[in-house]
Amino acid sequence: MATVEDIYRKHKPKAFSPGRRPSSTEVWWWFFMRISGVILLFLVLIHLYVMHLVGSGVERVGFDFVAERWANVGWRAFDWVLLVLALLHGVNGLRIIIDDYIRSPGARTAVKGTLYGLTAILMIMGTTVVVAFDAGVSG
Amino acid sequence: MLAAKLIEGLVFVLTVGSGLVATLLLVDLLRVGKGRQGVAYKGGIGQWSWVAHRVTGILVVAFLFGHIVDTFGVGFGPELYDETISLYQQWWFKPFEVALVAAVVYHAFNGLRIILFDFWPHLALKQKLFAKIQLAAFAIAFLPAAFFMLRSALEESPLG
Ligand code: HEM
Repeated sequence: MATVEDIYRKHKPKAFSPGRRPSSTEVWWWFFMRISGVILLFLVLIHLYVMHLVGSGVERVGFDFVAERWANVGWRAFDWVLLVLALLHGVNGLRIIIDDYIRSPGARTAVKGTLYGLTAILMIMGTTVVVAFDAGVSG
Repeated sequence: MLAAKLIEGLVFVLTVGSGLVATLLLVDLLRVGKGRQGVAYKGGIGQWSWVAHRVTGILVVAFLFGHIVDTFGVGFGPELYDETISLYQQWWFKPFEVALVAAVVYHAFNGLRIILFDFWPHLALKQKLFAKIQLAAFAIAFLPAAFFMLRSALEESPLG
């Protein structure tokens, strides 16, 4: 069976790998960026359409709107998948950009450490509110 | 409410800050254009697509950070949440919202183009054509959306 590494080696343009084999974690992240990208394409466009375009757009969004929308578990699931994929995709993108511009190992570790810490906190905050939101308790 | 103001401030700082970072990247790239070695590679439409992909990616993820925090506020009840997101409902915020939509739509379509080239490398031989198709697709998806969003904001503005 073709592994992700095989797919990567076959499809990544040759110019980018002059005889160098990328680490398998790096290959997995490369693959994740593509898979999450394709899924995000649909989720994000639906999100923009529903929240920013339909009706009066963001004007109608508020506590009551969220309460009504999240009464449906389907929308909670949708929002949670969007949160997880967008956050991981975006943060991995930032990691790549950090590697491109920040060369000193100490600064790299510091910046990435801060980024990952922040990401963990945001993931917990986002997940908590999507899963545990209760209009009766908060409202 | 203080908490609402703080969250609004955070969103604002993140968005403006990432805009500054994006500008720095652009300046860095323009210097590369003048014969300096750097992260840039070939030039032409393909490279501008790459810059735009990077800049839009940074903008969108920076806004996402703030957006997770403001949404977290919904768990603390209508008073906090409704005041926080009233920022997004000011008529003058509309251009920022439209810019964000533009960034997302551009990044999404451009990302799809990158994925196509990765999995079907021979398509990359026609990369200039694909870059133009992508710009056209972006215009078709974005311009009508921008029109409807701006029209409703204009009606509420002092001009409307
Ligand atoms: C909507 C569909 C999306 C698609 C199809 C997509 C596609 C991609 C792809 C394929 C890459 C990798 C580029 C490369 O390796 O050269 C990428 C990078 C990136 N994406 Fe996305 N993406 C999407 C949404 C998002 C969202 C919602 C965010 C922000 C939360 C985001 C932030 C980033 C960032 C920061 C990078 C790194 C840019 C760089 O390395 O220059 N993307 N995207």
